[in-house]
Amino acid sequence: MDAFLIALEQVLSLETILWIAIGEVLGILIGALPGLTATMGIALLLPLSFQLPFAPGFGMLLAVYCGAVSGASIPAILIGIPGNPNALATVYDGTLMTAKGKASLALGSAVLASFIGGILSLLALVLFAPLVAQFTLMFGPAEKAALALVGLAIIASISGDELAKGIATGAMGLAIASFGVDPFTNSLRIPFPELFRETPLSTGIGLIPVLIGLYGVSQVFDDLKRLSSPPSEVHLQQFTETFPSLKKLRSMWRIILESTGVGTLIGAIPGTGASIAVFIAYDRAKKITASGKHGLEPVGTGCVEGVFAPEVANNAVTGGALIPTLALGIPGDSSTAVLLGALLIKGVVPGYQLFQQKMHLVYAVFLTLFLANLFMFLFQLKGIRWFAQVIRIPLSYLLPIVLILSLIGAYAVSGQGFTTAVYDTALCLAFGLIGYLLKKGGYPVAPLVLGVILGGMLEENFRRAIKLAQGNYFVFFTKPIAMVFILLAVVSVVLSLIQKRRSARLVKNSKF
Amino acid sequence: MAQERDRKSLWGAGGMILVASLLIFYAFTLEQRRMIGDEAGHDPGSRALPLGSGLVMLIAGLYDLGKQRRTVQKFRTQQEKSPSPSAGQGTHSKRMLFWGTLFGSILYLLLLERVGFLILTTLFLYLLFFFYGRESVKGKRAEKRRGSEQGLSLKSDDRAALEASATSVGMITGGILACLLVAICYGIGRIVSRELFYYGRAVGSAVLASRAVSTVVFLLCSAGVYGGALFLGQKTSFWKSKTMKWSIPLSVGTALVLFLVFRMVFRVALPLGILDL
Repeated sequence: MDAFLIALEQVLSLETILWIAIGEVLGILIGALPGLTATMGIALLLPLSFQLPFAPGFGMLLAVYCGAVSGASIPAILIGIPGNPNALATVYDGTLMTAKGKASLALGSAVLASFIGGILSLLALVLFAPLVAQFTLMFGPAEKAALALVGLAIIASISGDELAKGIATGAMGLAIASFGVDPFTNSLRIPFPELFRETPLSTGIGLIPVLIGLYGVSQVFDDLKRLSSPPSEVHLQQFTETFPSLKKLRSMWRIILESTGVGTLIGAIPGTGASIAVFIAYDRAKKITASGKHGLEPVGTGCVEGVFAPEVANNAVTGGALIPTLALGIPGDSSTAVLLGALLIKGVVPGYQLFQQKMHLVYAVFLTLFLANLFMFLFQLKGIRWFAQVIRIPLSYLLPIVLILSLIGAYAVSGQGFTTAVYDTALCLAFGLIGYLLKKGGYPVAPLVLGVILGGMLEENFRRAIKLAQGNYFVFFTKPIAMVFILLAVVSVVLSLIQKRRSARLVKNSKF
Repeated sequence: MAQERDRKSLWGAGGMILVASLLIFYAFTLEQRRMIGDEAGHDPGSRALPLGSGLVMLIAGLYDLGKQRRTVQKFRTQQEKSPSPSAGQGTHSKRMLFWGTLFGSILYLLLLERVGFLILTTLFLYLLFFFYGRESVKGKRAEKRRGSEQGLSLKSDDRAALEASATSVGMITGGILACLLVAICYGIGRIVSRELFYYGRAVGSAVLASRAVSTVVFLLCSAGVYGGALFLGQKTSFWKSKTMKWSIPLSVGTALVLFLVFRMVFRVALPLGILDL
């Protein structure tokens, strides 16, 4: 109870509320701008959160996450371009509703659905995260190393088109994480140690410059090719606060519950994300409404049901993805990977210890997530007219601001030391270039980020496990939990291979 | 398009193999030390992670290279049957923008301490807004040109933007104006807030001498000067083109906001450079 009261005191302070509100507005704006992702938004605001205490800092990042996921529905509905992949499935019925002159109802439904999805998944997070964390008590070094491998294997197999590329970037992330000082022997692990011993490189490669570079700077380089495409034309209608009726909401109870379940569950599986959840939820809603019974309109005809299902699901992912992040230290998607990085930078190590010793921080996360959802609902509702205008902002104004924010963000992390600050900024720029080249070569960036985050955990536990097993490298196959994790990794890789082969065959068949 | 993508993937796989080979070589140059208390030598050692990841990268890269080569060969056979028109028009200017952005960023880093955050950020942002805006107008123009065949015409301010951007004099004048504006905003904001701070200390008022009041006063002064300059510019139709009209205010405004947030609120040591008088 004391922990809850401490958290409540932190969260209900003016500072926290203000930063959550700022994060929410920025999140919605980022979500509403096609091409800018929630992950990039969180990465750009990491340096600001670094300067703040835990509750306002992490709350602001959570607000950006919720806002960006929800804000993506605005361009999806109004112009048929999803702000980010979270709103891919909202496009179908959203644009049809706009064409019918029901844009207000579509936007209102999306906001309400996001709020419902967000709050229900928060409940799931509150209920399940402590239970999952308790499970980690059974983990020794072998299990922890296997868990880190599972996270990497799943994210490598799911992100991007080709498994080999995901594995390669994941391994690259691990290699980057190994730069600096060896945690067991204190020996330097950098190229040309005689030359760089006295430079900031000897302390390794910081997480924030890597994150900002990979998600902020590389986005700028990548978007240069879109500069000459004109900004979207939005014919703004007279927006009103229109919601589906209570009767309609009651009739959609199954869609709401199933979409929440799908979103939370998919979100909780490490390496997945909202883009998968929204299609499953949309598909389920299609099946539920196919009969046209209980006053439900068939999904795909431009109806509230078709907007509600994916929007409930994508915001349900936010709570779901935080379950493994907080309980196991394995992120649910790329956004939570950055959030995990933010936690680690703040010195908060996820797992059972967090729930046992720093429960006030866990409560603070729950409460700030609730506030973020509440603000998302209120701000989107009241500001829909202005947020919709954002779509008109041309890239030529956005990209320079993103670039300078990235550079200054990386600089600000070290705060006072000029040399370290310039080193961090140069790292950020270098990783921006690496991210851009990887994207050009078709390599996914998310496994690299996860490799950098999990590298330390993997190495420490792997070496400890082998030492405890007296040099037996097969120790991972002798422990049941570690074995289950390894099987999970293998299953995820095999499943993704089957799925990719099947979709490639479908594409091939559709050409003929 | 598909051919270009495949070629890039081929280069990507080659690059990955190169990086992996360098990583493996680097791993072997590392001193292999084992953890304290591991006399029996069971610890895999400091080399394990870099070497392991290098090997995984190498295998994945080789697999990817083989796969990409097969795809490219398949594409070539298909292309021989039906040659496609070459793409790449307009890529030159985009390539220039890419290299310009990259070298501009490096230069920004190198000059930050000497020139100072405010002036350099304003100038860098102004140039980015200017060139990106020009590229955007070019794209719009090409689109309109296609549309003009269907009866659409280019807007007058877009035409003016293109004319202004064609001259380097316009660009340089704009850059100098932006730097001057930010220096004036900062100068007035700093003088007023500093005088208030000294006054506060002289009369023993903790409120007037506080950091919060200095920040607010600085914000108000610089916002006042900035707003005034913008208003004058609009009233006298000083800005000749849309690109100029937006580039200068946006660059100055963004630099001031970043300065306020990072330096004045969060106390990040952003260098003042030539403004540190």
